[in-house]
Amino acid sequence: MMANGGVIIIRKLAFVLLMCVSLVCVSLPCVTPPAAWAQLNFGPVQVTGFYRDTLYLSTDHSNPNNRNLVRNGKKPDIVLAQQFVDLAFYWPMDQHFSLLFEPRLYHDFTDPLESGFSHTFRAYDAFPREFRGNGLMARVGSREFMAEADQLYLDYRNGPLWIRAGKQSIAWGEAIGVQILDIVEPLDLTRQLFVDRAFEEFDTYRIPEWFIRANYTIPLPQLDIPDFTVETLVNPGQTVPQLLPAQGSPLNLVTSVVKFRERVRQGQPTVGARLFGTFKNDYEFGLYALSFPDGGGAALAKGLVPDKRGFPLLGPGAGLFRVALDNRHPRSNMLGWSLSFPVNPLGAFIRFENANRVDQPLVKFNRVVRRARSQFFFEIDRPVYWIPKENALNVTFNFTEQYTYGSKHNVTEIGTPLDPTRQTAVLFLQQPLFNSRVSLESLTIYNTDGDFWLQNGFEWSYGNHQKVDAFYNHFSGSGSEKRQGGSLAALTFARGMFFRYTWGL
Amino acid sequence: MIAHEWTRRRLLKTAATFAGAGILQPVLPLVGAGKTAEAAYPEEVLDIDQYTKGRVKVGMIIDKNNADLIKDIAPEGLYYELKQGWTRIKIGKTNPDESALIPVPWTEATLRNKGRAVLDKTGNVWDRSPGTYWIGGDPFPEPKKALELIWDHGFSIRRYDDITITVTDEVIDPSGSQAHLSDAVAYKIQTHGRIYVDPKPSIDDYADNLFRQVFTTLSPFDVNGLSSLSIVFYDATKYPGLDLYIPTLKRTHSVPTTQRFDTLGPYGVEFVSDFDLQGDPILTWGWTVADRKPMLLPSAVNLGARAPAGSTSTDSFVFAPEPAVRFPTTTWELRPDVIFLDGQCHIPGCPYGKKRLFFDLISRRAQSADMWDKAGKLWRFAMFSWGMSGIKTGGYDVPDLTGIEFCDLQSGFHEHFHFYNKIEGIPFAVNSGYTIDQIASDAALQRASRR
Repeated sequence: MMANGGVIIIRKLAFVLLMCVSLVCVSLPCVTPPAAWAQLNFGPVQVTGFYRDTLYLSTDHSNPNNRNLVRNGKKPDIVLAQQFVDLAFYWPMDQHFSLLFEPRLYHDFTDPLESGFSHTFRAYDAFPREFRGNGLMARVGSREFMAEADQLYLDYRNGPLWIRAGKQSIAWGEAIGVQILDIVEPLDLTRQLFVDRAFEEFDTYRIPEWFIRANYTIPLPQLDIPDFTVETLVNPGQTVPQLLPAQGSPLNLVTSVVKFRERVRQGQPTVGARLFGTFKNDYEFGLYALSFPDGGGAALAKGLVPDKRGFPLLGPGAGLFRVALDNRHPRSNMLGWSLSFPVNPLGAFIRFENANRVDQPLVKFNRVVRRARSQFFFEIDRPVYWIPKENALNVTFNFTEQYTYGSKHNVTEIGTPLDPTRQTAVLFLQQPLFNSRVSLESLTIYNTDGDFWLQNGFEWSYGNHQKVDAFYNHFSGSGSEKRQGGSLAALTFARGMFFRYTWGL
Repeated sequence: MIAHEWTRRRLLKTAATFAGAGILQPVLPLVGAGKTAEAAYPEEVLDIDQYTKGRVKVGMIIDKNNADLIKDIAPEGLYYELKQGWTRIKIGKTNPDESALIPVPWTEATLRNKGRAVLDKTGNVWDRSPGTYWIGGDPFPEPKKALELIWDHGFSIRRYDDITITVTDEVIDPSGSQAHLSDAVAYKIQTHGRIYVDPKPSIDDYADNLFRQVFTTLSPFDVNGLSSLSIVFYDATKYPGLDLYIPTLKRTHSVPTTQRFDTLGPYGVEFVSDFDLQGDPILTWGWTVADRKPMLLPSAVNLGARAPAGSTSTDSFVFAPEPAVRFPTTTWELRPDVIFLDGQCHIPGCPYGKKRLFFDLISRRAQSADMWDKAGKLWRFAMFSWGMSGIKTGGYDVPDLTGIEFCDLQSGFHEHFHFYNKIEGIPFAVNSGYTIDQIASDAALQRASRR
């Protein structure tokens, strides 16, 4: 006992020491003068990038999804501790060609750091990608370290023609932070779910895939659309599912009764096209079509698998089992449109977006069924000057309605009964202060089922190279303890505060 | 003092019915005859020694100890900067040659098209042929009212059909330390009043634009690749359009453009509204002439980062880049004919009580401005210095902006922009014949994206 107690004390001291080091890192900008220089150049290659430390402290209960998968039922103190390096090498070869290579390096030290405190977790893979064909993601590493070629592409520009070929991040649509038309590529939720700083949207979540993307501008002055542009994109067959945190990891989303397995079939192309332009200078429009393997997928039960961390599903004494759940990614097709324009008398900007999935994959009696689904999005942006001599308060409000057509009887989605109509309202406020050195930010996402997510915090820019931010995530909702996947209220275990320190070139 | 009073009376008398530069005779015919403006003014307003009765001489260094010598002939903001010891200036010789600041082909177009410009009832400028956009050159070289002055300043501030600008932006905090440094490249395409490259005089597909400007930040890391596309409309009552390419969003995004009074980035001293001294559409402000007299304005010898290598060791008063200097030393000269153009902003949320542009009637352009807050307290000062870029195009020298200084007189923050002939392999250039589809459309912004 004494020995154990000694180890615990040493671990706690080590934790306190680490916290002190982190605090010194965070407070360093207060005491050191900022140095400033531009990005690095190696011959014609321009290099920029940053290093980031993230520490996410839990303030609530243990993750109920991890029952049996962790050492104890204690609330973890730390749900994420990571280092992240993002570099961008940009080589403008001539007026037509340029090359971009953006490697990213990650180091996760959540488990070692947390072990000094609650000692909750068993070893888990911080960067899971267990599916066939994952080598195309250009990721290598171990449970705690990962290196990837996040983006690697060649650009060709010649007058109105642009071609980008390679591994690239593609975002479509007007809606920011809401996936309506922005579904070309799946998201990687393995690191911090989707609850990192909201203002940065999906930059570190979106999984770049191998695409050839081309667009061509055809002026149509007779229709008052001088910048009419046609864009096509083709991914010849790389399929990547939406990546979820490993089961047993702090932010795991999948109940431990289930053994979740990705079943990915490579060779399914993604093909898309959009037409966009500006009508009468003010009205920006887009028409979209996309055919792709659904990243979210539909999960089907495949029987029981014996597992020493399982449950006595066949009765006492019959052994421990978990339900094998295979997530498949059938093809889906989407048609949509977007429209945005200023409303000058209101000093506002209005956006509309609509996506229609004719064959959204869902599950009924453990079989994939298809349903048509529509999503409608409306947003208003309105800056307000209310603090003398300070920048405007940016106010963004948006509302999304999702409707699923056809019979809903016994149809499930993410393991829960299908909700045919879902409404979500988002209010985002951003107030820059002190010549934009500090940005106060507040995000509220309210779902009409009664769930909500609040993220409040600030980012402080110090000099050219350093940023510190701190945000608090709060999830709640009516009957939150009973709610299942797909509900914000089911994320109460992710309540907590995260701090980030960033140093950049 | 006698010289001061005499000249002031003469200038005010002229100002009562002013029709362009000149006291003894109009400047414009002299320029048309290939001469400078020298013959249009009495000697005492062309020579600061005579004008100040020997108190201020060419070559004199003005600092906080002798700033009172120039109090009557300097913008209030410059005087404040000098008294605080935040900068020093050198007195330069008056250069009455407008080609030191304005490209010769533009002056030729001004002379060629003189008398053709008209204002409609809203205050927008047109060619006298009904329904014809302005065709180029300063529209009102012999201005009769304040609105005509500001149109001369702002119709085509750079006086080129298109321009590629390479610039660094440095912010100095009140302690005098460098707080922020970035570099950027910008492109501007004039849609009307084009005189150099086809299509001339207008790009018909974008007829309701006045110009488009793309600004791409190269460093530091958090804004690398951040691009903005400003679309300024021909109708100067209308707010510009603004599209952003934000690298973290991986796409272009239109945003409200009523945010005219936001800084461009962390530590920024300037507002969007402040660029070119009048960055807002001209008719969103109201303009009046407050005074007319000889004043100190930045000299064309302020070549900034383009000053020949080694030259700044013998004369550093050229706005040369120096690390962690609040306001690099500059040369100012007595300009004989300066109008105080006062602007009152009509845009909701504007924090300015008043902005005063110091408008040089010889070059028909403002080069510095004082700005007051709503409480009537002097708040900001801005200087835009122009000079020769060192490059030639079409056989002509190319003058352009060489430096910008923004001063927050209340907080002590300073920000300066230095213009270079090349940054990150991108050269400064004018009249390259770019098209909007190539450079300045929503799709072009995406194509140029770096990350």
